[in-house]
Amino acid sequence: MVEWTDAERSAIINLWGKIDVGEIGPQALSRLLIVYPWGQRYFQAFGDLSTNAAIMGNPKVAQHGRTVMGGLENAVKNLDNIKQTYANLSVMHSEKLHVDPDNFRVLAECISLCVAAKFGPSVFTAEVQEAWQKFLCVVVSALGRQYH
Amino acid sequence: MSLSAKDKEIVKAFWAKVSGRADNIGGDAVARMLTVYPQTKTYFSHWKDLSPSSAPVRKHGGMVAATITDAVNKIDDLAGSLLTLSELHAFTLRVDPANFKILAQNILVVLATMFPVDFTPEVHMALDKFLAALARALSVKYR
Repeated sequence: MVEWTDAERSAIINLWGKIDVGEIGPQALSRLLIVYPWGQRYFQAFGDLSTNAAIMGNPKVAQHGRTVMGGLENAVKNLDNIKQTYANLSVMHSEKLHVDPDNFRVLAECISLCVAAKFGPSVFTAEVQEAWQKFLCVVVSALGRQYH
Repeated sequence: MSLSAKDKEIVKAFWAKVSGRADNIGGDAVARMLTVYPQTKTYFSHWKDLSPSSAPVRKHGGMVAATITDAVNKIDDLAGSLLTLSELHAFTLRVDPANFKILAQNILVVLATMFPVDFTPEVHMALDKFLAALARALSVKYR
């Protein structure tokens, strides 16, 4: 089981409280599709992804970004039980969506960078970064856990 | 995934803009690395003080930043320009090369916090590729 210090818990919950899922989600997913273009393989039904501008303006990308980011809410609310909370989602990503789990790690990095850019060094301090990245690492691990 | 001409242009332009704060960028990146990835502290057990504002952390950050600036100027021959540093890291320091990626991630985080407007997806990609190329050049002499 993951051990969270009190400082880590409050850092994660405070930061989450500041995050606008509708803003950061689309930014993070767009960044993934631009910076790691092989990720586009999962979004062939999303329409025009041919240029960076197309990706950043694509409403399906934005909607999916919001959905994925919003999914983190469950993890924040269940910090002591993330593995079980994401078990079904993990099965779905493996069996139905066939997503390479390395993409979860890469999306987590993009999310962290968008959060860093949004909040700057005085909010996204080294301590907050540590707690946030540890949190995302646990989510990433939970999402990959049911793959076989 | 080699650096295209466009990537090099983007990296040079961005670094020219930010290099005035290179020392801070390097120092903050090293400080964050030590906090966020505590296993990296194992390489600095000879430092009395590992806190973010300590002299050895800031100095090391300055060295990292200076190396990046030098690498940007010699971007067409990264392996050549980093040969001596690669030997140092391979034979003397024996830093596990997995840590280069960790430091690179923290450099990107610092750049995102300090230059949110300039850190566009295009710049992010070019820098990610550049730092990966730097890490490869630094690993050349390992085995």
